[in-house]
Amino acid sequence: MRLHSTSSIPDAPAAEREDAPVVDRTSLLVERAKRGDMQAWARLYQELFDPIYRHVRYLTGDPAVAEDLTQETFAKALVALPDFEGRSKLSTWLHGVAINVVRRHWRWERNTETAHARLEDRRRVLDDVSAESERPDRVALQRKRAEVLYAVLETLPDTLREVFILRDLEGLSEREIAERLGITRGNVAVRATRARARVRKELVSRGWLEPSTAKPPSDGRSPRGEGGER
Amino acid sequence: MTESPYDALDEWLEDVVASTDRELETDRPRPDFAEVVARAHAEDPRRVTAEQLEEVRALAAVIPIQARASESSSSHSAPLDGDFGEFLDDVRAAVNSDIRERQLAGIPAAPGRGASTRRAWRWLAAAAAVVLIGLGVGAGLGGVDGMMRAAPGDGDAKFQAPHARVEVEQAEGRAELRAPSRSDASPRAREEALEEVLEEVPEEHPDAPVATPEGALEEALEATLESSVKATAEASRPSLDERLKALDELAQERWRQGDLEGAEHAYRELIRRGGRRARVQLAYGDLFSLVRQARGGAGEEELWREYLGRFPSGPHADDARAGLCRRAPGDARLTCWERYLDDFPRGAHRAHAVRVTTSPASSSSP
Repeated sequence: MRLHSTSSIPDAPAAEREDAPVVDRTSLLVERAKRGDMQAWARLYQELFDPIYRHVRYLTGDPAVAEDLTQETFAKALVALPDFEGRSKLSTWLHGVAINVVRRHWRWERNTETAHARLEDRRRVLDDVSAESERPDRVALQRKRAEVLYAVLETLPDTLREVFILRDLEGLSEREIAERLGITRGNVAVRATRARARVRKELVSRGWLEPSTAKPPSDGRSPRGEGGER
Repeated sequence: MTESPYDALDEWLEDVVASTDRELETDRPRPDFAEVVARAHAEDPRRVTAEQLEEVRALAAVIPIQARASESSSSHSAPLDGDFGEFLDDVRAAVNSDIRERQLAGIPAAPGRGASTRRAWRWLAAAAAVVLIGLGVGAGLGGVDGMMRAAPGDGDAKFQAPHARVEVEQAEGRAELRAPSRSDASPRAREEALEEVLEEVPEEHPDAPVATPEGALEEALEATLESSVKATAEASRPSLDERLKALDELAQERWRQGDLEGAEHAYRELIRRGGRRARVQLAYGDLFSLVRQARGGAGEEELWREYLGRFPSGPHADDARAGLCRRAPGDARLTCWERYLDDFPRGAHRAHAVRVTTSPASSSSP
């Protein structure tokens, strides 16, 4: 079990501040939870488990790791909740906690010998291009592509990796990503463009994508629209 | 249309999203709040106290947080294909849904008792409500509607899912056939009316359906049969199900009045007479909380063992087994968790079990 200090719990982004406080049910539960009411915490946990797990699952690409890190996210949030000032939505704050937990996990993977070996194993999938050419059934192909993509993502700096996942896989808008990561929308756009270029280049160089002579658009965006929202 | 060099990448990403979404739909983990609190306590025992951990652990062992309604209540049941398998899935979903709705009922704490029990029930209600709402279960279960129970109307009604409220209203309407309504009868008059029904309750029929998949099937069929019989002979002698339901209400009424012993007696009577009917599962669910309230952890452990002896793979078995493992002494704890993993490889408490069984240093943890 990995437990880390809570010093990395993010402050609420200013963009999420609630100018006119509304006493909603979640706020009441949060207040109760802050006073140590475990039933309130349990309720919040039940309500927020799915979105946080989904978020962490996308960030990690591994169901078992995602489950573990989701538990850790809530454990850290439980400890840190008394410091939560309600300047942002609880869900936004929790997503921030989750990202920090995942970042630590990424660092741990790179810096721990055993984990590093596992990482290398996963990256070997990049060299198995035959799976693409064999064109197995659609479901198997999709799964294979997911494995390959996550192996590629592990070669990216964390700052690019998380923006790419939030935008291109989770389908968040630039505004939402900016709020979650506490960075500007412009910064999100720059990172997203760079990340897409890096991912594509890596897939082409490994033979998973055909090289194209067409010039990429300057912003690297998909034709799906702003922020690649689905 | 101009082809973008990113088209192929976007097609690729759509496959990744499809693959991930499919997995999220089919392999959602079962959250274990006790595990979260244990981690938080390990990180900062001052902010998350041992008392809070104990409180959650005591509750977690009897809260079936199911990932999806279609999950079998038994980890041992073999998968079935075709219409028959789908039908059994519906029956299992109905039983699980019924248990969750029981938890939604929010039986109030006994007068004069501490807030812990109220916390316990609200905790149960809250967790179950979220699960129920999230799963959207309950629709299309008319065939087993007869198994659904009335829930007491009380302050915890706010936790009830819409479906649960409908069921409560329907069940309340039926209950008026047998007993005075709550609005126009004193608790004593109501209890007397219910006790009259109790006196009429027959012994368990030797062929009583069971709550296993096969038994649930029979029960669903019987419930359907009973509903049709009721339509033609409304004034006839109450069925066993109706009498068990009345026993159930009696137990709740006594519990509400603070008569824990009387409530336990009524539940025990229901369990004795109900054989392996689904309503017995509901009664056990209530008994777990009631016994904890009346006799604490020791009584609870005894009841878990009794339940597991009777329903080794019943709806509460996962949590009962985990509860016993958490309280097992010394080396027995490790063995207990190992067996738990063998029997419940996808159990709600598997994360904790794996940690205990794979880390020698943690074998002393609950």
